[in-house]
Amino acid sequence: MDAADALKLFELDNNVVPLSASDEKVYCYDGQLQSDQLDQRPWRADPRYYRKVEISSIALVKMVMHARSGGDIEVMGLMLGKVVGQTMVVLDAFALPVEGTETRVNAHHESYEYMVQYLEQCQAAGRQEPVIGWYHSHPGYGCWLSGIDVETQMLNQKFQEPFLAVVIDPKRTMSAGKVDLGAFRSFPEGHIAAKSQDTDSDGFQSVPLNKIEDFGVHADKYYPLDVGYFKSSLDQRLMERLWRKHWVSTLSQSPLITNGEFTTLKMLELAEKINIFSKDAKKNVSAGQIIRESDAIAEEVSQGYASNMIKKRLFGGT
Amino acid sequence: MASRTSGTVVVHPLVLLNISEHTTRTAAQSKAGSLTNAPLVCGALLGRQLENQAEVFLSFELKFNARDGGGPAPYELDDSHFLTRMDQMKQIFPEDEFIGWYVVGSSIQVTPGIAVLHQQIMRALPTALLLVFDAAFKTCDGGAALPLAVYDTLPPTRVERVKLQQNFGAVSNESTAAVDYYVESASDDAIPLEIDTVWASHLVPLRISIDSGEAERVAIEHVAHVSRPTTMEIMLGEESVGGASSMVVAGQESEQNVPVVLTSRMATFLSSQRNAVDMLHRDITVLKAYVGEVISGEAPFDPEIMQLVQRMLCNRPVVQNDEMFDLAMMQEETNFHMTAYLANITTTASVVRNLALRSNAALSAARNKHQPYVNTNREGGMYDGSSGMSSMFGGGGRHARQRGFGHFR
Repeated sequence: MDAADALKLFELDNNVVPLSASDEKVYCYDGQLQSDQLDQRPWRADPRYYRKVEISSIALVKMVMHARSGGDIEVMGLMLGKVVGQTMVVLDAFALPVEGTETRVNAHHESYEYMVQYLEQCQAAGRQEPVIGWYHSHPGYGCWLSGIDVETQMLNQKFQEPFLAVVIDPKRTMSAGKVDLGAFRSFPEGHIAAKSQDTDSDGFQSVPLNKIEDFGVHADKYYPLDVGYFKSSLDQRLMERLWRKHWVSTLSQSPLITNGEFTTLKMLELAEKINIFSKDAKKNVSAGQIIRESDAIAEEVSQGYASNMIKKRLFGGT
Repeated sequence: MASRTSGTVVVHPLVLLNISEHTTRTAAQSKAGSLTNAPLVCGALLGRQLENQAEVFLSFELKFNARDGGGPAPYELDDSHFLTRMDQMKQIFPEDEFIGWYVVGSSIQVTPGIAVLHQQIMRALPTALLLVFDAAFKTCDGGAALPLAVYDTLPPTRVERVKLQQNFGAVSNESTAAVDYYVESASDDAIPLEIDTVWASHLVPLRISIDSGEAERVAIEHVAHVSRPTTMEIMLGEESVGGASSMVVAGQESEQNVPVVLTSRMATFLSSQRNAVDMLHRDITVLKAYVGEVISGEAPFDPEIMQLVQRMLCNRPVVQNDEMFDLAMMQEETNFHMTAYLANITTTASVVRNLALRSNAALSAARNKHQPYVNTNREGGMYDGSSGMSSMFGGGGRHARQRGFGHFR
């Protein structure tokens, strides 16, 4: 048997993988097109030029798992991707060997070396996209940028545009059973953010009391981007197959048990906020925020209860 | 078949997604003609191995260089690339070892080409696992099976050369029957071989199961239910058409692929629970049909399956008349009711406060405008009675009243 022929048996045949036309576009990197777009430096004219983020399935899963693996410690990593018009597309992510508390999360010297080497290896293995941003975790206190995060982001946007900041809250992700993720870009120094509806959407994030000052002071130095998620048609088919094995864990998990402690903490936090609010209504806490938080807690608990009831009906006998 | 499977391998969905992404990217690049590497989709598998159970947590791409002149092995593993990346992964995931590699093909069979590469991997790790991913999804099995196979490499034994050839011959016939795969291992000259025999390792298929960590599960569910398939819109960089706020739950069941637009998290949660119950029901139906057919003599009697069914039935109901369990359930129920009740009270208090604020504002405006028509003798406005309620929520009403009335008194 001719060896070359034999190899063709498994070399990737274009017709083997069902790609939609859009998959091809998204997953293929066109360096020329990218540099054409970047040469115009559209973010100079409009600080809010990038409005939307699209995150690939693999990048999302990697970031969430990395964030969760840190536990109470903040972790960080970098994202690879490209820009398309006003959208930033995140195609992959990788972890950096840095762990830190709130004040320590920024790329250190040793991790910089790691980063450069990692990128070289990625490119050698056929991943052509450059770094498009960084992500880090805020375990338990929501997705927003702290003062130090804003500084880091501003610095990066100065020298490495286009650059994006993504924040993930692994604790809230687990307690809500839904990915809690925010994407942000900072304004250039000295930019006065137009007081628009954005302040309202910022209020959506419930920030713990000990962080609320940090949040309030820096909230107008950056803006959130709309986040979308996408998957390839191969991912889609894989997910359908996976679901057939996966439903067991959906049914067997109990949100009440896994999140019991965190829910209690959130209740205490909320009680404290209500106290502050009843003493002085103008102090960083709004009624709408309290309502949203209390509703969120109630919803999570009722989800847990509902899943308990389903299991009791199914397996509990008469 | 069962006697031949020597162990189990647990594959994490992250690995499968990684392979899927690698495949998609390579295919897209090769179509666009911008592929820089050999058109092989191969990568390393990282995880842990205990006795005869392996668990694969992570993966990364391997680089193969084209070798000059082709020959029997036209591609060669880039060792330095592999070692550097392995070292990098170790820094972040120190517990995971290199335990094997994956290759993407158009079936789950081991082809001679894969065998040639496997020989190279075996030089680095003699017991390497081999995961073959079928990008064409030809592995049918009612559409339920995952499109992959994992093989374990046994220590080399003396095998007739003919056997080696034969089995790969069978592969090209696309036979689904189990085939023995042998991979020739590095020949050891010290041990004399009989004519027509070679040292070769037997590749045995492993039983595959899927498991995921809790964060992985949430993220995977997000990908399955929230992520949209790629569209041209992403590439045009257009603003999404209101897609951010509404979640499209689609493709959970390929049979009825009707996208349902849901807006609340509760609805998403309930629909995923419902889908899980559906799957449970489906599996029970299959088992029931099988048992029925065994009774009527249509299906062959498999003692293993029957024993499993019986064991499951004996365990049901899992909990019965357990006081502690009932108590715990009741506590959780009470907690749930209390939380819901508190949330309701909070909302109500806020609504009342808003009402007080607004009505007082309206009333004071009305007094300014129609002063002669309003009975100014009524102190405190008509919603004065709400002050008790609103004080519970910060006494906002009183603030407003003082402000509102201040100027005309």
